[in-house]
Amino acid sequence: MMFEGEGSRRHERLYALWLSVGLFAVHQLLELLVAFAYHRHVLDVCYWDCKWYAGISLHGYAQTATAANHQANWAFFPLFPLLVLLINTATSLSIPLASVLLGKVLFLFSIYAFIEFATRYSENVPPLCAGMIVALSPYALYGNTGYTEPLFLLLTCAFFVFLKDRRYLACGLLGALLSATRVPGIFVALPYAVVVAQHFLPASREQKLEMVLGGLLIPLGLALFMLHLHAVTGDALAFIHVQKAWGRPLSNPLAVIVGGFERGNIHLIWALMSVLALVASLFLIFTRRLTLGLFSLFCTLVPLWTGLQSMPRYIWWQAPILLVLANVISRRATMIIFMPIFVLGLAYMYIAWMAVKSWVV
Amino acid sequence: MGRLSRFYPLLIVALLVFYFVLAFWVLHPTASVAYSQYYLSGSQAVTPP
Repeated sequence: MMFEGEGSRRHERLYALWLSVGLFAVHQLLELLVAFAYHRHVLDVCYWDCKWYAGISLHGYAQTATAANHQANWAFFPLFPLLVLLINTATSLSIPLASVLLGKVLFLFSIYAFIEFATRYSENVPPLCAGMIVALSPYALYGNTGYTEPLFLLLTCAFFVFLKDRRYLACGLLGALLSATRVPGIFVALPYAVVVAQHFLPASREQKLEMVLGGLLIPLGLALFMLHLHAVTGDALAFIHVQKAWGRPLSNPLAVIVGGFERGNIHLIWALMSVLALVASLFLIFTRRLTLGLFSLFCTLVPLWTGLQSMPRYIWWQAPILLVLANVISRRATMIIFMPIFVLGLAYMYIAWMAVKSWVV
Repeated sequence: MGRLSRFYPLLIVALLVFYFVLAFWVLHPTASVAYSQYYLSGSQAVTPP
């Protein structure tokens, strides 16, 4: 659907907003049905990483690791728990409840942001298809569980939209927030560098300064987090070193994938997802969408260093990968086949989540 | 934008100084080696939970 002029642009945005609200509501209804069937409360779903983030909001970062299993909350980045703390202070909601509610609000905004991102980067993707990919994919459940994924997707989509408009300072500020959200956030520096390299020489002095400042702002969130970890633990790289406490020593990504194929079952599915995500990244690079492809390549490869278990969360909340998927299923016939499978997958994931299965963490 | 852009050089220098300090003071090997040796040596892996 193409409109001309500012009025029609506003109309498009309004349509995307209502579409986001509708798809968000469908997702909430699905969760409600599963919760009802399994006698659970939809707001009492703060498990696994949500509890780690809630712990950060409550007590801050730990000075030492636990004696029993050597785990500590240093692996979890600070932006989401900081926002939860703000809500807790402003509303006096409990921390777990504030985490889940904030996650839901960010989830709604991330659906809208992805529709905006998808329409900017691919004319072939209808807004309905883009919204459905985010709202109803099997791993969309993390939008409702007090995780950091919706915040990451929202910021990534906003970053790429601003990058398309070459608003460097806005990109730098969003990059700073992204690098304080989760490890792959820092990789928006790569597409930023590509765009700056293409436009630096013909730019005016003021624009050049803006480009440099925007680029320098991107690592700021991570740098402040490292400084805080240094102050609390004495180790600025504690967020990397503590991975071993989860049985995730840094390994060769290729060996991790091969290991997944050899172990079979759910590991095989995670390995297949990782391979497909890498193929999608290369596809983006070779179809002249270097900015999106580079970001996805690093966002997939680096988490692979620490194993396969968290890969679905890194893949299914990555804007460029979701864009490729939206392109694949944008045809009506494909969508009719895929979407019921996705919705059933989402229901199954909710059932697993409410049964507190460890593989869905 | 015009007024704000006057501060760009100052902000750039401030950020460069901050990153320089972070790299050479906080990330200096003595800041991280003790901890990373403990974890990366695998000593925690052989400790029963």
